[in-house]
Amino acid sequence: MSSDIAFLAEFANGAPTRAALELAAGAEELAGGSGGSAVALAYGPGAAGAATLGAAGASSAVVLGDDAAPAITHAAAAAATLRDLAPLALLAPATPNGRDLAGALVGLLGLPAFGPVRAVRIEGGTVRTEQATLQGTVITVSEPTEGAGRPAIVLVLPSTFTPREGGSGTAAVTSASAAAGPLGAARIVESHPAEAAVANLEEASIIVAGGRGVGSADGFAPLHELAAALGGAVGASRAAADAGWVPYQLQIGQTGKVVKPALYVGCGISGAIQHRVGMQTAESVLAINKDPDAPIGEFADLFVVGDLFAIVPKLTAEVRRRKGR
Amino acid sequence: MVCIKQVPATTAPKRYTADLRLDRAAAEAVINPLDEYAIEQALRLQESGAIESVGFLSMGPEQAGEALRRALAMGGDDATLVTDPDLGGADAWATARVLAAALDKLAPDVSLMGMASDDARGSLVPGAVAALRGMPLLSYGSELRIDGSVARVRRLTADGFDVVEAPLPVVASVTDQVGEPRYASLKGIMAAKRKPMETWSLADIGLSADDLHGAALSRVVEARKPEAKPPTERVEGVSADEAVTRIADWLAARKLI
Amino acid sequence: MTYRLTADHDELRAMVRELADERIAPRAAEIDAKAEFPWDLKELLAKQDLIGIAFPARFGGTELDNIGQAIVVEEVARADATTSLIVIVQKLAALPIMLAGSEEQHARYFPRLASGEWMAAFALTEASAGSDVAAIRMRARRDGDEYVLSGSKRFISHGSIANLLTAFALTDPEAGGRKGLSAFIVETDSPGFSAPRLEHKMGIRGSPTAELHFDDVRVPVANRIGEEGEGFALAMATLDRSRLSIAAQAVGIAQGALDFAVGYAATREQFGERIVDMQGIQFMLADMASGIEAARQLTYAAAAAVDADAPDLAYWTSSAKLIAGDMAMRVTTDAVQVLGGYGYVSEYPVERMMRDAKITQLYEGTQQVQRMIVARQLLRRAGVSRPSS
Repeated sequence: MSSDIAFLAEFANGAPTRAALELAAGAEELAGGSGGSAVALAYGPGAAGAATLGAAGASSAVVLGDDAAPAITHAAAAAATLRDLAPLALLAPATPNGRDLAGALVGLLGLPAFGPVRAVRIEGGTVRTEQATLQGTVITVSEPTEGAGRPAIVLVLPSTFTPREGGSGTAAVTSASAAAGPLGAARIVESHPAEAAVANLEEASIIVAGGRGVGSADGFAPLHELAAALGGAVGASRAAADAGWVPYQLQIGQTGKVVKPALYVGCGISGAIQHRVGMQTAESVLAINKDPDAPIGEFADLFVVGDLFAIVPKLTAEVRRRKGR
Repeated sequence: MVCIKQVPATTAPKRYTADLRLDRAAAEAVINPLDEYAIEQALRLQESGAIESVGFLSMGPEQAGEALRRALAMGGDDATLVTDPDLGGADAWATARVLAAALDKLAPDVSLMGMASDDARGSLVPGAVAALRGMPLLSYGSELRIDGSVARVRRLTADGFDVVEAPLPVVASVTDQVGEPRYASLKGIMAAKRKPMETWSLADIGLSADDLHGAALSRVVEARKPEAKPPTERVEGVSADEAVTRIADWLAARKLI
Repeated sequence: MTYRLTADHDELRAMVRELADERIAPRAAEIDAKAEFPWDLKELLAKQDLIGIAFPARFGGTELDNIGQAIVVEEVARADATTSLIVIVQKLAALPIMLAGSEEQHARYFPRLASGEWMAAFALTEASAGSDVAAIRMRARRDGDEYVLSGSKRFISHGSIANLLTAFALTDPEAGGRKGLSAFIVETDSPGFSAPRLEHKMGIRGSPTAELHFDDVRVPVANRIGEEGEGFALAMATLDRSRLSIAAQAVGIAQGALDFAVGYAATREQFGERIVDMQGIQFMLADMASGIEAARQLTYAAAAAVDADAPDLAYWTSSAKLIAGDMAMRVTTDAVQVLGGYGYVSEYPVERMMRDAKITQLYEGTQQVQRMIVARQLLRRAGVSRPSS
């Protein structure tokens, strides 16, 4: 048993993902409170270079596998590592890969699980998490029961922690070796990258999102311009993704991305509960909608009733003017 | 075998019991909406002849039988409910343990689930069930195909999609992109009343309360309403130019431009 | 007449309401504005097994009891009156065959009608024979193994889109409308049949109401429903049962209007408060709600009378249609009143519901005809009928 805080560090294209950097910072912060250190469990293309996670906050890193196999195929190696290490908590990103791998660890090791959480802390040597349940209508604080196994598995929402900037240091790297077992039988047989680059919404601090009211793929053009002027990215509701106006990677909500930008601008988005759970922790919410009764008007900070096609281009020009560009 | 969960309707009022567990008796219950996509996917596979039969499995209080009946009204052949007083407040691990034990007994080629539950949203159960059953997981499929002894899902990636494959038997989960769930037809509703539905206790699947450590390895120590946000500032009935000025001032006040 | 709603009825209502709320209600305004028959919703109802609710299970129907059928009509009409006619007219047209048709006729036509593959229409009314059915002039002349139909019908719901008609014509003009009328199954692809004109209506605008011409249309003798001369009694027996559907439709339309009015009143603010908190509005809503409930319960009682094949079922169905139709007109008018100026414009659905409600006081016997039927039964019960009637 240790007071360490472990975290899943996914690599892609040879580098740690944004989620890995956020969790490294979070694990370091929590380890400061528990009196342990932050340990990365690294997987994905580039994971062999996990020593660089030292600059992000990790003291050490265990490489589960440096390949593009589905995350869950690393579950056996991760389980073996956690059995030896018995850290206080394992932070996992609340992404499809993170959930698959975390779920497998819950099953393999019989562990308490939490999340997705928006806050986690160590109190008196115990993990305490805070999560919104029942679609944000209730906030619950949870902890492991006495005698529950270690580590506590904690799914962490994007932007819960902020990556360390300008850090230095090198993590001590070791490799885990364990046969993948039956979970390893899933393999990627085809990969179809998109023709055009797709923004990673979870990294954007400003998001301009469009919904049914945008009306068409072309209707997203003014939203892209506003996003560019603000220095943000474009997102969408499920209705817009289902209609094929934008790729599904841009969908925000229960079945899409969960985002926590500094500014969220909803254009022609009604604000159904399924969308709301994906953006409700945004720091500032601006909504532009023709329908004065749209549900988004109930939780936006600023709700402008009007035609987005009349307002958005003018707003883009005004933002550019005020920014002096 | 499609695993479904009965959840409170999103529009229903919710509250917690005195011991901070969700009061499921108080809320109007529906099939977890994301599980309906799994049902739809399974029924499409059956209609195309890729699989022979479709069964439904649920774990919950006795009224979760209603969710199974609704699923049977959409189609499929039979249903199994695992219900036991010791299951109240089950967490992801206990849920997975119970489902895995029931699925071991049912031994389907595909154990299919929705991508998340409407109320808890951890999405840990598919991975945990795969681990407990010792079989591969094909998760977050926007389409599931069965081709002889192999299952494949189309799965969204950061910038495109992958095709992930595994030999049967598998645990799988699908997203809301598989196609809109069908409405139950009147004949479907009538036929559902005659379809077999079994009810199992924990003992029936070889588990005891001790195996589940009181159904949960975690506990809620506090439940509260989210802090109220400041009221919405509305801009209505003004020209586009005026609206733009108001928005820009608001952005500037928040130091966003 | 006593009845009891079962858990199956509740489940049926929940199923139809979900479908109607999600798929039918969003189409209602467009159907009304364009006056186009909603083929998409006909397909939807067929797929969900809701067209064949009155048909025997062995011919592909779902054989609901009359309370169940009333619930389906009510819940569809709550969303859109036009769409509820898809269910109503299919049964109306098939009733003569159900009541007096041969087994061969059942086997030949019911599967296609129950599945919704074929649409049917009930061709009774003529320009000069509305409430006075005995004034029908259309002729059916026997010619070997066939009848030759000639004449015209007017105000025939679904007449222009039907594949099959149950049509009433005189086989014995000398005997007159009461004794000389016979019923026939007419397939509308028969030579000599045409539907040259549609009416432009105040309400139920998506439901085509056609004028029909029969220019020596030849119908096999095997397509006669019942015996020669039984047409008048068969038409009356049909309407005695089918007007139950109109009562249910009226209840549905009214419930839709009330539900909208309550929702509106709960958000509309005047004088600094929600208008739903004003007693004047509450009293209106309470009158609307209790009126709907009274009509609904009478409709279900009438449905039970039809299920029991009660000798006085006409008393029940006519009472139900009379009460429900008048109630629907009053409730929809009040719903417009609750919305004020907004109720009078097509942006909100209550003006459409008010226009739709009016037809329930007119078709399948005007309210005046219903009173005649109720009075006739009343006099019979009291033992004071005129000896001749």
